[in-house]
Amino acid sequence: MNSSRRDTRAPRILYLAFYFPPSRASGVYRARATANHLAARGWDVTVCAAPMSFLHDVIGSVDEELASTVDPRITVERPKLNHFAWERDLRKYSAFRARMPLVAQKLYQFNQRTLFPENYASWGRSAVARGLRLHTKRRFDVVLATGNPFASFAAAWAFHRLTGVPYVVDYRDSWTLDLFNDQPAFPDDHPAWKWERRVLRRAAGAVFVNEPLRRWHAERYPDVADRMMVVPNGWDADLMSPAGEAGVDPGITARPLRFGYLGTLTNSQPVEELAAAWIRARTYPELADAELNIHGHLGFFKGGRRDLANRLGLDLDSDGQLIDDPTTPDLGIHYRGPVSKTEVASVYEHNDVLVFLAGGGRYVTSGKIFEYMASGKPIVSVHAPGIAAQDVLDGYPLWFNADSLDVEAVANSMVEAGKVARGLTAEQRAVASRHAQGYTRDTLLVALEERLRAIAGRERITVSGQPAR
Amino acid sequence: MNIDEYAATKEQVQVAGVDAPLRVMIISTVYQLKERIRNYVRDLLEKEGIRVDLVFLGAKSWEEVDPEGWEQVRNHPLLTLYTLDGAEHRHPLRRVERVIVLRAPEAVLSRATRLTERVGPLRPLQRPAKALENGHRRVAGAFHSRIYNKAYKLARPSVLAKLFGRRLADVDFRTVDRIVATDVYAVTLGWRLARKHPHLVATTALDRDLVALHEQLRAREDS
Repeated sequence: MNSSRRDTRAPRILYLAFYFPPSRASGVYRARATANHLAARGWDVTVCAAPMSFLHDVIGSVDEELASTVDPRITVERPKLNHFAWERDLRKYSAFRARMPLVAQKLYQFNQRTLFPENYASWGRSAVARGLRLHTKRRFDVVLATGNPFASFAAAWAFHRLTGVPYVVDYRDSWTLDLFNDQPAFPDDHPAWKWERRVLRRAAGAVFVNEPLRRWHAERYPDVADRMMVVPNGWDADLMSPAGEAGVDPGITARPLRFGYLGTLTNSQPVEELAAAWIRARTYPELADAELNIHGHLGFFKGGRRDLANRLGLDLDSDGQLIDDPTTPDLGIHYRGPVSKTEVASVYEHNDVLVFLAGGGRYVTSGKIFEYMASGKPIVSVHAPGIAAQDVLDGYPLWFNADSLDVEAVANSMVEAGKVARGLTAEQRAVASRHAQGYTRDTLLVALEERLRAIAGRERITVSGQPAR
Repeated sequence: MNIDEYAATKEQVQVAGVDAPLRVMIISTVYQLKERIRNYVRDLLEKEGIRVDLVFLGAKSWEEVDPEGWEQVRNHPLLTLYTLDGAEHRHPLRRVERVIVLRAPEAVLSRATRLTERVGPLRPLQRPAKALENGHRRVAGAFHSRIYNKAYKLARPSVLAKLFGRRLADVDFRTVDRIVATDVYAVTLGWRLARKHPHLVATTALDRDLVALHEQLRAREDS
């Protein structure tokens, strides 16, 4: 290719992001922000995302409003995915699978073992095929793959092997490290290790959401360490106005306090500890009649909603509505249902104290914490001590951290946060939210965009021996 | 199997009436019913008040793992049981293998061993005859578990579908709303029933709140 011609046209990127709007999976915001950021900086962006049938039939929900926030210059492709692992409707089984179900299952498992160890492998193959078709029409300069699912990493590797186009992998989530136990996620002989080695060896870059995760991978893959960088999640300034503009609620002194959790509630979070601490905190006069509002989805999939609600002490009917049973005591816990990303600002404004509920150990940051800080409201931590999110929260003036999951200690921090919320001034909120200003997505994505541009332009990347930050 | 054999007639397409009580057919083909299946059956009967047809290998598959639970559930007025009661064991595929691989050689070899014990001139062959008998037992056992069982497992879904199909011949499927195949061997039967009775919801999911769920489905069909 002629280099002068190459310089004049917009750099073209193939972005392999399975979870992309209108998906409402927790990882979708990083992908949305990355694609929008690149498009805004003149990139020609093509995203390969999950098929809509998967979002509707398997995950069971989409956020159409979020889809409207995707830059219209971005092209979204939706390669096919084999629904074998998720299909529950017997009528949709092929005749072969229906007549020889065990053979079909064994063949599927054999494919998993020998080709790629993930249920999304077929999507990865389709993404490569789609990418090749598009590449033959107009060349891609670089591929960016975000995981999970990690079939996107394998697809980026395969695309590179077939075309020579360099690729960067973005570990939005961890692959071989179990974030909830801080232990390797697979036994030593599992094919995931072989694949991770293979993918990283040829990657032009590897991106992680926090420094502990980058370090963990750098120790395992020292040859690739100089190509690793950290891009924290950050918060979306286009979806959330900065705190301080709204001031404070003058009525807060006369009404019960409102605590709020916003995000998808999952089984890995200390839900029971939250409920127990909340019940304990409510016995203090400062939190009399206070309410704990749970905003968001209960679990990522259609099943399991009621289990999570039960762990919180709530009863839900099949529509996800609260069953109002007058015989059960009022805990002040209210499930408020899903919130579109475009409405989160009003949720933060409505609640006086935000509850930062996070599962897992020292490698967990949680993307939600950046938004929490941007709200400028008091934040109560309910998570194991020492998680990576504490590095981000460190310095936030309205952070109340029991540094433990002890019920009494968490209850005390809730009470302390409640007291501060009652007397909160607009100035205090503005000071608190200033801490979050350095964590807007656009600010954090600058380094990644520069790295991608350097790779796409075939510029020599400076290898200092230190990770880029 | 000819697919047309299971094509639905116009009458069979008739959907169960809206006012009819919900009826669910749960198919399980395991020798020991797992806790999640037992809980599912009990939840539907006791919490949701739904008619349940349990299609399974036999009472033992529940009784042996949960005798108390079985006692409580077996006579539940909303529960109907359909069992094979050993019919799978008696199926020609299994019987022929047993006769050819195990019983016939065993009969010949044990008779030969007895002869070597009784007939004087044959006594020196007593030890080799016993060794041969033991060797056959080992080889037959290995063949059964390592080769035959593996091959039979592949055909088992079809075998079970045929056997259970006969047991279910008298069921009025117009009053059944949902088929649940709870394991991989139950898939073929569930799929065949779904093809034969297009109004059925046929699934592998152990969904709860079925009354509300089916009301939603009916409302969607009506709209």
